[in-house]
Amino acid sequence: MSDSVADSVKRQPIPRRISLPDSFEAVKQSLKEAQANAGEVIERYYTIAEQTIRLRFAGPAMLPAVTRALEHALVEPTPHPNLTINVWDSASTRSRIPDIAWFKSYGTQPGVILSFREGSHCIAYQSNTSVLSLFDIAEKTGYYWTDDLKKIPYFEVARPMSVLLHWWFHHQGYLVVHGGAIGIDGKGIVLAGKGGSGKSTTALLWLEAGYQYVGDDLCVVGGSPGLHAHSLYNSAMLFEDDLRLLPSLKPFVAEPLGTTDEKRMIFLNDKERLVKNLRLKAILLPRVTQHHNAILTATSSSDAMKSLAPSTLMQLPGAQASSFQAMASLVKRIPCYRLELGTDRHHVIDVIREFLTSLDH
Amino acid sequence: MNSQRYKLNTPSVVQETFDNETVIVNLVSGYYYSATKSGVAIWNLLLEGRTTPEIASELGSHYQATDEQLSKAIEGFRSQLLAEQLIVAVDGEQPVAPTSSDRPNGAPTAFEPPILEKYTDMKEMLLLDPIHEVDDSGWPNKKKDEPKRP
Repeated sequence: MSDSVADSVKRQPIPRRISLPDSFEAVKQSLKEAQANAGEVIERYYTIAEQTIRLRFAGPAMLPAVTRALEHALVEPTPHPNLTINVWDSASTRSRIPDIAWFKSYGTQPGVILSFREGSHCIAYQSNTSVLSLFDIAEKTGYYWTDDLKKIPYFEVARPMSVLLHWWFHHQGYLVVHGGAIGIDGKGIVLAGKGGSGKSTTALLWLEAGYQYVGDDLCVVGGSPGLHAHSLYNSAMLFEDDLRLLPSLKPFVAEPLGTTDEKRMIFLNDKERLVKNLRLKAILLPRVTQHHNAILTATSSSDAMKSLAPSTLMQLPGAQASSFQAMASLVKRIPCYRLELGTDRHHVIDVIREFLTSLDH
Repeated sequence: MNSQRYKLNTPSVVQETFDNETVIVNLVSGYYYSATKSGVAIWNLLLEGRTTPEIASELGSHYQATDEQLSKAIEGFRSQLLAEQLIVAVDGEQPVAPTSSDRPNGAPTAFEPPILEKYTDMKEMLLLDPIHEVDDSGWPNKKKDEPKRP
């Protein structure tokens, strides 16, 4: 955020009334200026969970920050995409910061996640990503803005536009959940749990073992007929040392962006192992233990809900009450298991494979 | 006040009752909760707008306990819920909602005091790096001084 805007935090009174249509107009003005200054609009099309999404970039600068995690879902242009998202930053396009009073007042404070909805307009700002997201449901149009793309943190590059995509998929009857998804022969499981539970490690070890993989952190659940877990991002984040456990992922390690410091991102473009979706058969709740072997035991829907819902809701603002109810329906609908991860990392792969192969198609 | 009625603190709080447990999330604080034992029935009766005497009367037909024991347990549980801002008082007389099925049934059994378990790990976990990070055993390990994530 520019100094001038940051300074205004101290001076601006907190507005009692927030007019989202006015906010949208301010953002559209910034976009218009950005597209004019950039001199070109670059389009990319992606299909995720049966929805075709068109991204419209004002100039090329933002492409590396947004497109790499979506590369697996790239498709040819289509005349009627389901959703359009406009993408730009003010620094590279020399466009104005959206002139929104509430944003200047609230939006620059550290640790702030703002989310509002009024009619068909949704808006959110996350200060830790420096991204302002707007969604016009009626127009099926999203806006993804940041003041300077160099400030976008590595975890936003790994999972770009998650808030906008969460809103869109929610509007379409899908559910974006904080969980990895893996499988075999088209049958899949969601690995749910907060950070540090071992879900990402389990998903990546599964991938390393050569089986089907949908994602390690966020996935889209829903669809008809039949419940599926759909791939959202092709990315995973690791430290250099982690690659010793995952040697087959080395070819997919990306050159770091300016903000990634010692972390390394992989963008998995391997169509054999990274699949678009899997039929969702169960939810597994991993937990790191000191046992030698991994242990899989049935657990309650409420146990799954405690692993799945809070971490999803805290990361994806907006539509939280209905997302919570959708997650409750999900955990009541399919069987849930505790997966105690032992110190023998390979044994967990055996346990999951035996579990999945025992299930009906 | 025994005649006071309450409701869910919406839209800040969301909740769902499963077989023997109610999961409650405070979206503002980031804390989440588990209500178990008689807490499931008391929670749902409170959300129906029932007063303490009404709840005690309802539970009295299901549990082997005196009115005093039940009222004390209900008041204590309700105080916890209020302190955590999961419910709010409702002004005036409110119509009682239809009876919920989330309450004990069958022959009277020994009273199981309500339990409200609070989970604060989500706030802590928001400080964790989203990176796939492992320790020497190959499983995730919490790291210090991590940036905030969404």
